[in-house]
Amino acid sequence: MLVKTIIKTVSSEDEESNRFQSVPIEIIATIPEIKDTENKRIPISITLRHVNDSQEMSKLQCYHYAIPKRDSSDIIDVPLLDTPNNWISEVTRKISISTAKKYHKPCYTAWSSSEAMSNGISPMDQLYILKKCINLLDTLIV
Amino acid sequence: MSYNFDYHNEFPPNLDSIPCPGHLDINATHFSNAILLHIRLNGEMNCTLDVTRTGLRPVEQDVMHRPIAGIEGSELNSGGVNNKEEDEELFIRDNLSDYNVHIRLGDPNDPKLPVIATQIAELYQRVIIPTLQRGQGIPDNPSSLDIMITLSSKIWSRGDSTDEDFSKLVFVLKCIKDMYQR
Repeated sequence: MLVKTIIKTVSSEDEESNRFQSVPIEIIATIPEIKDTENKRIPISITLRHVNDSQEMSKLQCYHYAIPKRDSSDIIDVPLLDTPNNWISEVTRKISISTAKKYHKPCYTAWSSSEAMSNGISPMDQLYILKKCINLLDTLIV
Repeated sequence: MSYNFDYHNEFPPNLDSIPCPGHLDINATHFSNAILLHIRLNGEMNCTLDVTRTGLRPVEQDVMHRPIAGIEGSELNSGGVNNKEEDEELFIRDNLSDYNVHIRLGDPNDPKLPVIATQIAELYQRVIIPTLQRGQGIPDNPSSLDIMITLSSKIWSRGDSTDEDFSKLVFVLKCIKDMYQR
């Protein structure tokens, strides 16, 4: 096995002083296995699911790709599926770029949420979600 | 409940263009409007394709009741008893033209990618979604489902197609099907 998939739900209940509603976000991450991390071409893929009711199916809203340049720390990124919702496209892009930059690997990020959840999230929460994603990857990638 | 499916297998040995061992990892996530499919060869993937359904379809040519390929009704009329009827029934239909393939990332001139993508989409429409209906992970409107495929184009050789390309495609399709039968 060269890759493994981890599903984790993060919620803000245990955190103080953040304005993010207590709606959990499910993160499905596929990462290279630790012993194979020398292969820089194996991408990390992250799928986020943001819904009120965990039984409800979410809608794929945005899908973003980012890859580090071979000889520098620059990142090239492209949306593969875009959305008119700026907040969603921005948070998806940020997660892709940050992950690609931090781990020097290509990164695919997909964001899904129900229609009702797509509106009314404050911009501050982007950092919270980004932090949660990076924290999760940190615990998985040694 | 997460509609996420995961699968791992190895390609049979002695295939050109696939290093041995060739690890195949497939991951599918179902959404209400789309299925996101990741097909990795030795962990890698480099192409993204978006497959959508296109065109209008009469009710009787519903996705479950049409032939897989070729000439519709040709078996029924092979006796040639009624020539007039035969002419009416002979209706050549290319099912793969029901799909629109957009290459979002990768070589847009690779003629194999659209074929692979439509075959995967056909597998979903005809086999996987009908069997899933009894269980879970079924979207709101299965017939208008988008399939977003990210795969490794290195599974298939560059240049002219070979017999091996076909057997590799069949192997990948079988693995996708097996993923749902557990």
